[in-house]
Amino acid sequence: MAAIEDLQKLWQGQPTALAEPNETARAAELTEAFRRYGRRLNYFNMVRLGAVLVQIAAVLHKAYGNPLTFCGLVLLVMGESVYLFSDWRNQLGIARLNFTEPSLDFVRNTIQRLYAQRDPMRQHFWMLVVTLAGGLNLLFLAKDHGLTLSQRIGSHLTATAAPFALYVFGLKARGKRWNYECLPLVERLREIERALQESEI
Amino acid sequence: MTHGDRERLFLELFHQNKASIQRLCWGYLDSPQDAEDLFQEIMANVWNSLPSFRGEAKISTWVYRIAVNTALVHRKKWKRGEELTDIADARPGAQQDLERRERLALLRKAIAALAAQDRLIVTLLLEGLSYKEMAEITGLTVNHVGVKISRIKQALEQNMLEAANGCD
Repeated sequence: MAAIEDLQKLWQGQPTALAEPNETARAAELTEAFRRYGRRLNYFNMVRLGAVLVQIAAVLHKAYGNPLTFCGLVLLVMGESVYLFSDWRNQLGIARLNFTEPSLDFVRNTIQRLYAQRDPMRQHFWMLVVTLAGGLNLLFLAKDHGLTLSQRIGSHLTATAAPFALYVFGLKARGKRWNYECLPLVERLREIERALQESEI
Repeated sequence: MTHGDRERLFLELFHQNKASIQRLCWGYLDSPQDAEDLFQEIMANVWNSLPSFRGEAKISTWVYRIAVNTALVHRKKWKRGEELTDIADARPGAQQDLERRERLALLRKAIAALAAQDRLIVTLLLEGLSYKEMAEITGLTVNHVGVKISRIKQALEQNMLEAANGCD
């Protein structure tokens, strides 16, 4: 066998095809910005998950003896869980994107996915409204002994309207967060989109 | 570290280490595309880790350590199966003298037949790193590196002979 020094010479004498360092740095920086976005959202989602777990604990311990309260809380937990996990999964999907040598379609698709984050409930809107309204109505039903008819109607109207009001409030809160978290990413992606469009022309 | 400092340091590191890291990728993975992806991933990790560099190790050792760790994680995502032989032809400037290319192809085949960690160690050896540096990079003791290299050299010799016989 050849001496190791010969092999070292042979190995180190290979021609190398080299990437552009600035592009690599830019891709790394943008990818890291998306990872940071993902980490930040993970903290938020952990808090939301904690709230759902507290409700599950309430279902298991406090509401076990009362079927109406139990069913109401189960409906609430179901709706929130589906929304939480679908939202979290979408966010993780975005946060894990890699921007090394992105194509124009990839960049546009990422921008669309970020814009979809402004209204994450749209896909599950009716499921969320029905489960939340159903759950709240059952909870009110469990507690409305001794109320007059008009008070009962009022409480159930409130329970039915509350998810819609929450949706509007949620959209506004989400819009503010989106401007802070996603808009800077969208602006950087728009720059890349423009550069890619120019290079295609 | 300001963004400007980070970019300057990264460019310096990139130019100093690009060739050796690229060869490490080629020695570790079979297809040129996979090797290129790994190279990009290593450089992205170098960029991301720059703010945490404390200057305790030599900077080239630090870059190699990131490269080795990235390669070991990357390996889990990658499925083995392709041959290494096409890689020399895929790169610019590959049409040099035939004998040299054949020897390089043999060496690459011999490396490809080694275990994942041994591939990394042999590429570090071929880059001319000391046992101490290799120990720092891989997290093994110097003695363990010595033992491994002795075994790897034997295996490499055997693999090169087999590859040469296979070509005849």
